[in-house]
Amino acid sequence: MQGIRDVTEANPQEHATEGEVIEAVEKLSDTDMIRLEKIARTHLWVAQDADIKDLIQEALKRILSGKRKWPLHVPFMKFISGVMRSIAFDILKQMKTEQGLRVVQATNCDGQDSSKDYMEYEDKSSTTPEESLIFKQKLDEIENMFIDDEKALAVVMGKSEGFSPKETQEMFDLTETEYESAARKVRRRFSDYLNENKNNE
Amino acid sequence: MSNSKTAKDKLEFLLSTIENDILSMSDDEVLEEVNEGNIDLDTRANNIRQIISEEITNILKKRLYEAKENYREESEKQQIKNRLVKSADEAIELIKSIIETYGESIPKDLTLAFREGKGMSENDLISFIEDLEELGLLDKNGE
Repeated sequence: MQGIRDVTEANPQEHATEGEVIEAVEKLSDTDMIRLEKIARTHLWVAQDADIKDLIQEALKRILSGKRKWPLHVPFMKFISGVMRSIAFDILKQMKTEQGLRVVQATNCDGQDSSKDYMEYEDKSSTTPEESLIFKQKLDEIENMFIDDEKALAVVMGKSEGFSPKETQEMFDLTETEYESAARKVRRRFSDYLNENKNNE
Repeated sequence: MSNSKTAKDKLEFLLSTIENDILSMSDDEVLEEVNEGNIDLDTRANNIRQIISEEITNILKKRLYEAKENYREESEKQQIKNRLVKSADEAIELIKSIIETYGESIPKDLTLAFREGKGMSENDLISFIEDLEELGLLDKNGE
C-alpha cells in the first residue's frame, strides 16, 4: 500500500486515497484513540440519539465511500473530528424532523479552516424558533457548568463568540496563564460532565 | 460582545474549540486523565480500535463481495463468448439465424432491440445471447 503523502507538502486540492485513509487510521496511537473517543463524546452531547460506535463508524463509512474526502493538508484527526461533528448535527436535525420540525440542509465540513470549523447552514434565518431554543438550551447548559467560576465562564463565552484567546484575555482582563488554566478547566469539567451523563444512562 | 451570532453559531464555535483543545492535548495530559478513570489506556484505546476495525472490515468485505459479483457476471459473459461466438460478427450471425428460425416466438421487444446488431457493443450482443438462452431458444452448445 502506498505510504501517506507528506501532508505538509500536500496541495489543498489533493485528497487521500482509500489506502491512505486506512493507513492513517492504522497509525493512530493509543492516545489518539482516547482523543477520538473524547471528541466523539463531545459531539454525542449534541446528538443524544446515538452512541460512540454509531458516530465513529458512520464517519469512517462516509470517508471511505468518498462522500467526505480527506484533504491531505488537513491532519487526519482534525478531519475525522469535523466529519463526526457534521454527523452529530445531522442526527440532531433528524431528531427534529421526527419531532415535526423543519430540516435545515448542511454542507460538508472538512475541518480545514479553524475559523470556519463548523457546519455551514444555508442561512441563519433558516433556523426555526424551536431549533434556536434547543441550541440556546445547550449553550445555557454549558455556561451553567461554570457559573461558579468567572474566569472559566469568560473562556466559554469568548469561545462561543469565536474570539481568539488573546481577544478573550483582553475583553475579560485575563493573563495568558489565567486563560490557559481556565481553558483547561473548561475542557476537563465538560469532559467530566459528559462522563457523568454517560454513567447515568 | 457581538449580538449578531445565533445560539447555533455560538454552540458550533464552542464545540469546535473544545474539539481543538482535545486535539491539542499532549500524550501526558491524555494519560493523566485516563489514569484518573476506572479503565486503563489499553482497554479504552482497544475499544475504539475495535469499533474502527469492525467498520473497515465490513466495508472491505462488502467491496470484495461486489467485486466477486462483478467478476462472476463478466466470467459468465466470457463463457458465452468462448462457447458460442468468437467475435461480434459471429454473435450477430448467430442471433440473426435464431430470429429467422424462431420468428414470431421471439418477443417483439427483443427483435426490435437487436436491429441487425447495429450500434450494439460486444457486451450488448453477449447479453442478447444470454437472453435468448434464458428463453430456451438455444442450448448451451449454441444449437
